[in-house]
Formats: sequence, C-alpha cells, structure tokens
Amino acid sequence: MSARLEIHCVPPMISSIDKIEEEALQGLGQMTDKAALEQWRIAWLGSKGRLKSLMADMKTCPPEDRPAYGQRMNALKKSLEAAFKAHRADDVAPAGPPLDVTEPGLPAGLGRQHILSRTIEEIIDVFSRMGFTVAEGPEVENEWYNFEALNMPEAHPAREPSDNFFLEGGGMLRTQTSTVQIRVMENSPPPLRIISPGRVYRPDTHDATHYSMFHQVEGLCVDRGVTLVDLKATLFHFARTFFGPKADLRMRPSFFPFTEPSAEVDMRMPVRGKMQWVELGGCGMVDPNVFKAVGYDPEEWTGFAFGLGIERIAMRKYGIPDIRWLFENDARFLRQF
Amino acid sequence: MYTSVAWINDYLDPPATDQEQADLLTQAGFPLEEREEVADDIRQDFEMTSNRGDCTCHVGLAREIAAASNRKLLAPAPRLVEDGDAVENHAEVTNECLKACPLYTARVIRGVKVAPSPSHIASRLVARGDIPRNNIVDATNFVLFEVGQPTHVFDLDKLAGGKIIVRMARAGERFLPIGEDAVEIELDGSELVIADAEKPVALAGVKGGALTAVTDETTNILVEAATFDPVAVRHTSRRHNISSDSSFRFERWVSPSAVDPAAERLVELILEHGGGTLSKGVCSQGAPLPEPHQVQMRPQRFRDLTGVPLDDDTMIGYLDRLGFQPESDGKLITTTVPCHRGDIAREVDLIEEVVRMHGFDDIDMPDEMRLRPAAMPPALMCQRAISRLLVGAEFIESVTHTLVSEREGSAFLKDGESMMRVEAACAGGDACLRPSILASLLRVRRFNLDQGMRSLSLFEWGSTFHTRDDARSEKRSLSLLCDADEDGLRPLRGVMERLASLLCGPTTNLEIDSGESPGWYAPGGVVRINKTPVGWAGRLSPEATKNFGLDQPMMAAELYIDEFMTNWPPDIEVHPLPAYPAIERDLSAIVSESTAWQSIRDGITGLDLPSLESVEFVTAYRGKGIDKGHKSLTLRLRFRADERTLRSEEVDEHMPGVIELLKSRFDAEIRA
Repeated sequence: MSARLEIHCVPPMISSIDKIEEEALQGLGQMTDKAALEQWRIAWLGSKGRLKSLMADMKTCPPEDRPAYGQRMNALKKSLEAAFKAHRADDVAPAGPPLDVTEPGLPAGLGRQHILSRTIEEIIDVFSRMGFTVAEGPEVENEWYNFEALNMPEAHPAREPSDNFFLEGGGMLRTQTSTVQIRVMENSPPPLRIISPGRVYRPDTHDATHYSMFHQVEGLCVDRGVTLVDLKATLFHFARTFFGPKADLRMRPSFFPFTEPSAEVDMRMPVRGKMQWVELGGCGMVDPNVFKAVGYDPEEWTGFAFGLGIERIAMRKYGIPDIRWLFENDARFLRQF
Repeated sequence: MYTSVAWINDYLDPPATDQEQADLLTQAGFPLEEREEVADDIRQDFEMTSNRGDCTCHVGLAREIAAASNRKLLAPAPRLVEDGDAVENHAEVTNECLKACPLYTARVIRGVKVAPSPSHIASRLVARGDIPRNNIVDATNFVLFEVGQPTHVFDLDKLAGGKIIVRMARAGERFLPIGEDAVEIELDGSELVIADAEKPVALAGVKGGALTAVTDETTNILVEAATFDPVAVRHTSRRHNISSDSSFRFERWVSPSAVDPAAERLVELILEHGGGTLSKGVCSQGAPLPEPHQVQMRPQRFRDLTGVPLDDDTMIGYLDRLGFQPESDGKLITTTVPCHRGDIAREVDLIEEVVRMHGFDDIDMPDEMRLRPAAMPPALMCQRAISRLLVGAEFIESVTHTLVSEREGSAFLKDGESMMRVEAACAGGDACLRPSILASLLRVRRFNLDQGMRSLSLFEWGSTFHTRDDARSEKRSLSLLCDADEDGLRPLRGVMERLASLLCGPTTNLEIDSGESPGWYAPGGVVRINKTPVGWAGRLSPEATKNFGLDQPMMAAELYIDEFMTNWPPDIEVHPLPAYPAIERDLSAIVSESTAWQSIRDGITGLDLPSLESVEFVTAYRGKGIDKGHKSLTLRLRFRADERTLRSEEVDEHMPGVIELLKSRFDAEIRA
C-alpha cells in the first residue's frame, strides 16, 4: 500500500525530505566534540529544531497526502535519533568504571552431587513416573534374605566364601539389593511396585572394571496379571527415557535363581569407537519359589523383577573408563558433572 | 566356552555360518563374547549360564541351534567291538560314596599305542585353543568338548592292584596332580578321591594324578567315565584352588544317563586311533539311572504369565523341537524331559523354554502401561533437598567404600564399641565396617590434598556400623567435613542451622552444647535439633586428622537424622512481617575465653526485657589490645514492638541492666 502511494502520489514536499535527511546526517558526521554534538541535537531534534518545523509544515499538505508525509517524517525522526545515539556512543565514555566483558568468570557453586547419586536420582525419577516407589534395606544381611529366600539353597555356588563378604560372628554384607524385595514382600501384601537402590558388596580385586562395592537398583512389580510384556515395556521405556529415544535394546534369555523366565537386557552403544551390545542388567518373572518364601500365592499374583548396575550405567553414559575414578572422589573429577 | 564353527557344524544338517551360530546361540541364551579367525576355522567364545551344563559342548550347542532353526542334529552313535577277555580279569571298582558319585564306570583297553592324534581330531582341538598331546589324552578332551562328559584314562599298569576305589580322602594323604607346574598337595579328608589299592590317583571330577597318567610307554589303560555331585566337585576345586574343564562341567551337573554313551564314544576313538583290544564288559558301580520324568504345562498359564498370545500348537511345536515329546489333552501339555536337561522340573521351566524358542525380540510391546500412582518416601525427598542445600553451600558429595582399615576405623569408636569385620578369608583389602563416615571423608580430603586441592568441603550419606554389648548397630549418617578457618565452627554451624530449618521448619532451634562429644573432637559438642540429640560437631582432634596425614585443622559433623527425615516435610506456617521498625543497640564486652557465647545470650534473654526481639552475635575479636585468654565479643540487641514504633529512650533505659549483668555474671569489661 505505502509503496504504491510513494510511486504514484508523492508530492514535491515529501521528496525534498530525502535531501533534508542527507543534509542532517552529513552535518552530524562533522560534529567531533561533545559541545558540537549537542548543538546539532538542538538544531535538528530540539523542541524548536528543524524537525519540529517540518512537522508543522504538514498542515500545508493536501489532506490526502498527509498520511504519507507523516510516515516519512516519522522515519526521518527515527533515523536522525539513531544516528545521533550511535555517534554519541562512539565518542562519549559510558557511566561507571571500565568493564572488560571478556575477562573469565569466577568459579561459582563449587559444590557438586556425586555422579553416582545423581545417576540413582535420575533412574528413580524415570521409574517413579511409572508408579514405582522406593524401598531401602540394611546392608548387613543374613543368609536367609541374601540367598535362601531368593531361591539359592545351601549348596548354591554363589554362596562360596570367596564370593561373599561374610562377617565375623555371622551375617554378611549383602551381595544384591534383591534382599529388599524379600523384606518388602514379607511386610506388605501385594500389589506393589518398588525400586531399591543401594550399595552391594562382592570380593574382587580392584581394577578398571571391578570394585568390591558397587550400587544396584533393584525393581519389583507384583500385581494380578503382570506379564513378561509389562517387564519388557517397563525396561525399554526406562532405557529410552534415560538414554534417549533412539536407545537400541535387546533382551536375551539368561538364568537367575530368583526369576524365571529370566533375561539379560543389552543396549547397543559405541565402545571404544565400535558399536557393541553392552549388558545393562538382568531381569525376569519372579520365581514361584520366591513368592512361596514370602507367603504370596504364585497362582494369584505374578510379578517381574530387574536389577541394574548403577556404575556400569554411569560409566557408559559419561564415558568413564575406570570404575575406581568413581570412588577416589577426586574433586576435579566430580566437578566435571 | 570356546567353540569351533566347523566342529559345531559336524553335527548340523545343513551347516550354519559363524554368524548364524552366533545369532542363534545368543537368542537361545548364550551370547557371543569373542570371535577369532584361526587356521581354516573360526573360534567363537560363548557365555554359559550355570543351569545349562548340557550346552558346554559342541553337540549341546548344535542341539540348541538345530532346535532354534529347524536343522537336523547329527549326534555321534558309537559302535564297539569287545574283542578281549572279561574286564574283571584286569580291574575292580568299588564305589563307597554313591551320593557323591552316583555312577562310576571303568572299561579296559589293552595294547594301545600312544602316538600323535590324527589331524581331524587335532585340528578341532587346536581350533578351540587346546594343545594336542597324544591320541589317548586328545580323545578324552575331544569327547569332553563333543558331548560334555568328562572322562579320564589311567595307565592300568600303574594302578596298584588294578583297583579303583571311590572314597573320601584320608587326612594327611598326599597327591600330585597332572600338570607341568603342579605341586604335591596334602588332602584334609573332605575331598572325594579316586584311589587305587594304596593311594589317591585322582581328585574326583577335578584332576587326575601324575603318577598314574598316560605316558608314551603306556600300553594298557583303564577308561573312567563317571558322574560326581556338583557340590563335592566344587568343594575340592575351591579347597585346593584347582579348576579344570572337568570340574567346570561337573559343577554344572552331568546326567548319569550320559556316562555310558560318552564312554563308548571315547573307547571308539581310542580303538580307532590308538589300536588295542577292548575287554568285555564294564566295571560299573552306581545308583540306578533316574527314570525320564514328566513335566506338565498349562498353555493358559503360559499366556497369563507372559502376556504373549501364542496358541497351543505353537507351544507344542517349540517343545517338540527341543526334544520334550509334548502331548496335549487340550488343557494340559505333558512333556517327557530329555535326560540331559537336569534344569527342567517345573511348569515355569517349560514356560521359559517356550519363551526362549519364541524369542524376546518377537514379544510385542503395547504403547500404554497400567499404572498405580505412588508417592516417593518422604525420607528420600528430604535427602535430596539436603543434598541440594549442601551442594549450594559448596560441599562436594563423596561416595566411598564402606570398608576401612583397622587403623582408620578404630579412631572413631566410643567406649564400649567395637567394629564389625568381614572374615579374613573374604577380605582382600580393608576388613572393617566403618563406625563413622569421617574415616572415609578424611581419606578423601588427604587424597585431594595430594592433588593440590587447598580447600575442600565434603559430605557423604552412608551407613555406619558398630557392635556394643554383642548388639549390632547399622545406622544411616550424614557426615560433613571442611577445612577450618578463622571463623571456627561458624561456617559449618551455619550450614547445619540451614539444614535444621529445612528439616523441621524455619523456627527450628539448633543447639550445639559444648559438653559431651566423642574423643575424636577437640573440642566438640552434641548437636540438638529442637532438643533432640542428632549427632556431634566440632573440630577434629589433631590425632584424628594426623592419622590421615592431615596437618591443618578440620571441622566436622556427624548427623543421624533419619527420624526427622521420615516426617518430612515439616508444617510451615507463615508469620506476618513486622509492621514497625526495630531499634538496635551494639555492645562490645571483653570476657574470658571460657565464657561461651550461648551463656551470654541466655543470660541476656533471661532478663526478660520488654520488646527485646533478639540477641545477635556480631563478631569475636582476639588479638591486639585484648589480653591473652580473653576475647572481645560484639553483640547486637534488637528491640521491636508489635503495635507501635519504639522510642530510643525506651530502649536505652534497658541497657544499664544488660551491662550490669555482663559485668557481674561474666566478669566482662565493657568497651563501648
């Protein structure tokens, strides 16, 4: 619309404004000190300046030209004001002391949550959105909770002294957080959905991939009609939320004394530049013997359980090559997260 | 287990490529761990599960591949000619331990010629990484990796009396195992052994003896095929730290039904490659072979438990391919468990087999989920809030081992307490369960000092352990450690005060009384939140810090706040802000070092001055102008009335009383 106006009905007076603008900007370019600049401002933008009088000239325009004239005048005013501001900024020092905005920042908020507790928190948050709540249990356990109730009778190979931290005077440090499942099921009737994060202990010589203490998140869901499909959906949803929607997973059959059918969950990810299937954790449908041990009727209730290694997840997610870094607690390492 | 691709294919029709073998076995539950190309063959290593001893051999894996891919399994079927005289003329077997050795068999071959193995045997062994020895030993290894049955060959002429006795070892008996680096071991009587008339000649299921082993001069041999109890084999193996391919298999259970076929296969190979004459008959002593047993499965139970809508016929088809001879009456599928499947005893075992054959990848997932809303436990939410608070206060969270050394841990025991320890046998490193997390935090502080970290504040959540009067205690603690500066405990106390108000609400009162605290504080006090003792805080004693190689003073706190955490969050009720301005009066008083700030504050508060809102600590000054043993405390009295603006005169008239109190009760010298 305005373009059409300018082309067809530009009155002589409007076209002269272009010249006036040129004159004003040229004049501004020649103002080198503060006082001269101020004089220019008064002459052009002041309350009795040229712009004001040009505005007043609008009255002399034919009424149909007035909108176009007014628009052009507004543009001129803006242009001169902007030019003045820019010119002044070049010459005049800013208010306040000098400031070099490129100087480096001072360290702020030097505290840090440990990456393992942060990882546990994130894992809990994903599962809590699926209706799981958190249960915790003691780290010093007896063999009933750590083995028998989990379908690992007296002769089970996992009970060898060399594979466990047995305590002087009886008892042991738990080797898995599955002990909490048993404690919860003993004390509460189904249905239930819990996850239990915590420390577990297995004798091992410390090296880049082994440490005699690590963390697990154990999950348990018991309800009427809980199926293997629910287990798969839960774990796949977890992995895709935690690692991103493109997380590529597979389940393959495996064996655990306390679940059947049992499976391992693997995720495909780059390891030293090569895509590989990496184990995330074990899972399965709760073995009927476990339900019997806690007095649940396996014909009425079904359930699934899973266990994830937190260190392994954190190491994979952040490319940590050595598990010992997690327990050395070098502040420089911890502050990287 | 290491496999040869060509070896597995010896039993498959049609053969499978290395990739097909890897994929099918991974889907069956035996994931590929390593792959390596060797001369004319490919070696693949598959992870085994402890319930499937039957798959720790090439025929076993071929059986899985055949079932999963509808191939034909070509199992070996040995044919023997017994040309010699009766075996009883040469050997005698006595089995004294039927429980630990459910079946022992011996066969005799006379006149063998020990020589290198033929290339088709040697190449299979080489492909999976074994070193061929001779035609007799290689045959036992070949059978082991072919059908999974461990066997052993004795030099019959070296067996005293030609006798085999399966018995428990006698304490003090000595035994030299086969092997280049083997050393003689002393038995304690808990081991199951194979003995001749005089001495043990093998650790049953674990290792043969050097003295009766086959050598180049051997001509007459006794072929042992037996099955041993997994627990007995594991015991001997662990007891003497000797493991072998045999013990690995026996620990995973070997079916007694597999003994004779394996022995016949071994004899067939020896006769073929080493010649000799097989004596008639078998010296065999054992319990009767177990009858094949039946297990039933409800197809509907399968569908209920898995959520996978398979029809009955599909399930029957899967079980049939696995050799379970399934029969259905419409409601129930009855199977006969193949003798090698010792892991199948219950309905759920069959359900797992059907799932395995169907494949987890083929289980469809719904895009919606059933949900029962659940709340997070308050203690967990509280722990998060506290951690965030501490991180905001520049504390770094550590996670350290629960086990500490005797020296580190014993510094943090109170009178009457002792540490819980792991048994010496299982402790590779530190053996003590930490009685305080400070033991770990100090170690971390020292480690970071070595890395050049000049100042550091640490916190950790964790359980602490001790025993008192035979009662064990496991309690969760929150511990804090920071470097001391000129402000003493005040920075740490400020954090704890904020923590207390987060725990119990803004009006919470945190006190630290300078009384009883454990010996590792010098000085320290009991921390109380709203009068409830929750732990200790103070400066760590020089002995405690020096123990960890730290020379600088450290401030620390140990808090046990589980009770408060489970009731979190507190009820918070907002108070209206004051409507009228306050009047403040500052006072400086020189008092002796032994005068605690709190006593002064309590003293002034005790005057019950009208409109006194608070008594605040401003500074404590020590140094120039102040006598040694004294400090100058500056405190601020704030007065405010609820309903009007106070006048200066009203406040000033209270000040002489305050000054008088300071002078008389605290022997103070007023400075301004």
